[in-house]
Amino acid sequence: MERVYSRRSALQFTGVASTISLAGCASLLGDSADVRISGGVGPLPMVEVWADMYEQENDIAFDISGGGTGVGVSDVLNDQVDIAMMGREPEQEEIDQGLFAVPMLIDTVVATVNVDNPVLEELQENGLSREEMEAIFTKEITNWGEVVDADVDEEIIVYGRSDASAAYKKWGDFLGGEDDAYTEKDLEDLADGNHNGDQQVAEAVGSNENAISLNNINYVYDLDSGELEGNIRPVPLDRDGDGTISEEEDFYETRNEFLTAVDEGRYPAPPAREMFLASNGEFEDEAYDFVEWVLTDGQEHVRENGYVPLEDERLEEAQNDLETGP
Amino acid sequence: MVESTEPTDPEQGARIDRRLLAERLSSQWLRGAGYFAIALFALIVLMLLYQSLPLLSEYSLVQVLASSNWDPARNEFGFLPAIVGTIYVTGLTMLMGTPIAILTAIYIAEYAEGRTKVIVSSFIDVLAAIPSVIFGLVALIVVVPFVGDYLAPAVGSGGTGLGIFTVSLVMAIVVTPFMISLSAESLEALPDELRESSLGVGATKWETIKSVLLRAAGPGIFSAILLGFGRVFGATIVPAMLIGGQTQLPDSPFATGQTLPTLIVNDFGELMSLPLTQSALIFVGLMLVIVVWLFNFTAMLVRQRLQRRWQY
Repeated sequence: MERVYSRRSALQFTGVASTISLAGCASLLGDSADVRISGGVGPLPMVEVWADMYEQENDIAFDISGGGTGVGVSDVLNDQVDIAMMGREPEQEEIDQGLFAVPMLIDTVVATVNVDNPVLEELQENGLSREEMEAIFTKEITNWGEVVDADVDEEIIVYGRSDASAAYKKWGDFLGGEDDAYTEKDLEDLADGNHNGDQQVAEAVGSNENAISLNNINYVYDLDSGELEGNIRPVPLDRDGDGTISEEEDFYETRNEFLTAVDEGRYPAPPAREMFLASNGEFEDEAYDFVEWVLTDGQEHVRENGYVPLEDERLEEAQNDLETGP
Repeated sequence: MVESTEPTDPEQGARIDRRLLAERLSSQWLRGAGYFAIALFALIVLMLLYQSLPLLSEYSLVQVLASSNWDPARNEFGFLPAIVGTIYVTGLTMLMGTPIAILTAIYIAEYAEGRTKVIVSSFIDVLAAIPSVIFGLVALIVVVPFVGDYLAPAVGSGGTGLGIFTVSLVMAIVVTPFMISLSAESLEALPDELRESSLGVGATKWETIKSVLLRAAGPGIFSAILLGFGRVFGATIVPAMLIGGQTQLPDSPFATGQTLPTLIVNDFGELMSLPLTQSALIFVGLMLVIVVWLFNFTAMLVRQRLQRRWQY
């Protein structure tokens, strides 16, 4: 009896068959994601936590990816995803293309220095006013000895962000004061050097005693304990410009204390900023239900993940916006 | 049909049919694959060109290539700083990397013996296989402080250690292993008669290498260097981590800057949704493709000339 099949053709057959079945699986998996989300890396950790919780409650599958706010927006406008995460408010040009955004939470950055900064004690005692920070970040003041009354002669090294960053943009708005704003490009060019990411900036400030920069608070406080544990320390903001940090302005000890202060409006916005969920036109079906959940039950979990929940008034506004659509 | 020629048993006829079918299918399949590759390149270039039109309808080509103000937030798109930065980085890298690569290749191919040769060349292959992002990370922790604290002050410039020179140094480390492997291969591929006859007429080993082997392997080494050049020119992650990201004309090797790929990588994350900026970034991509293609094309021409001139 002669074998009709050679071993090789049998192998080929199994290979082809398994490839086809794999492809089938993949398309099934792709179809089973009910809500697809992409966008800014700032809000990404929070949205992932929300999606996990929501999945367990409602048996809805999520597919979440980062890439940046702009990527999320262009994805959502091309119907690649259902929801875009945004680290900044939508631009007019984007709204003109049909983008519709609702706020979801508040995130914030602080000025940071190294734990061994030569004038750290004075900084923590007296803080820096907006004008002083502006002078430092624009290289008007270039020596730590000029910042405080101390016998110190150390050059200030200013680090910025080289990648497009909504946080850095807001920082420029904040530094410029009421009627003036620095674009990201202005700040980049004034800095001594730029790093392409929050983590890299934290790393650079943590390894250079004379450096100053800005970081998202999730890089400043330890993620689990919420304490100051790493090599970088926040610089208290002297809001009233009286040269000392008063009771009112002293809330940098732990993350929780800090978030409470942002919540109560004792820390200015900008640098605090709202983050948004956006869709192409109205939110639909499962995406709508998810965003609605985020704006109600989801808000309770914002604090424990290092962000600030929306204020009640703003929350109501957002819920109404969601219902009425663009 | 097979049956009509002469009576054979049907099984054999079926087998021939099957073989003929396989033959036809495979040749068409290969031809299709070849055309597909060409079509893909054309499609990419056309797509980039089409997407860059919004920018080019707004500003003239000379305007964007020759002006040095880059601020997407203010609708200013000047590519000169990035172009200069790219040339700067590529030039410095090749300056540092090429001599080392050629000398190492000569050592491996001609001088190293036995176990030493195995160890050295396998080490270099491992270096070539390390992802460049790892080089970038290590450089952030080691090279940047070194350049900032010792090297830059020693030659009288300040700074944080981020900048053109740092990128070039690290990129040289990234691309030399490639150039070494390829150059050593083309040296080793030369027939032994070349060495024997040169040594036989009384040339020393170094003279043999210099005037016979390097000429004979010239086109191969030239290609290796060009491949390295292409890699540096399009390098993205290492420059993005180390160059300091300031879009200005660099005034010294230790100044920060920007290259064309870092311009794309730093800005696309936030701005893909704004039509004009997106168009500007895609135009950068188009420039990269065109420059690399032109380069490869001229390299091919040069190489053909060299091969004709350096025959042995």
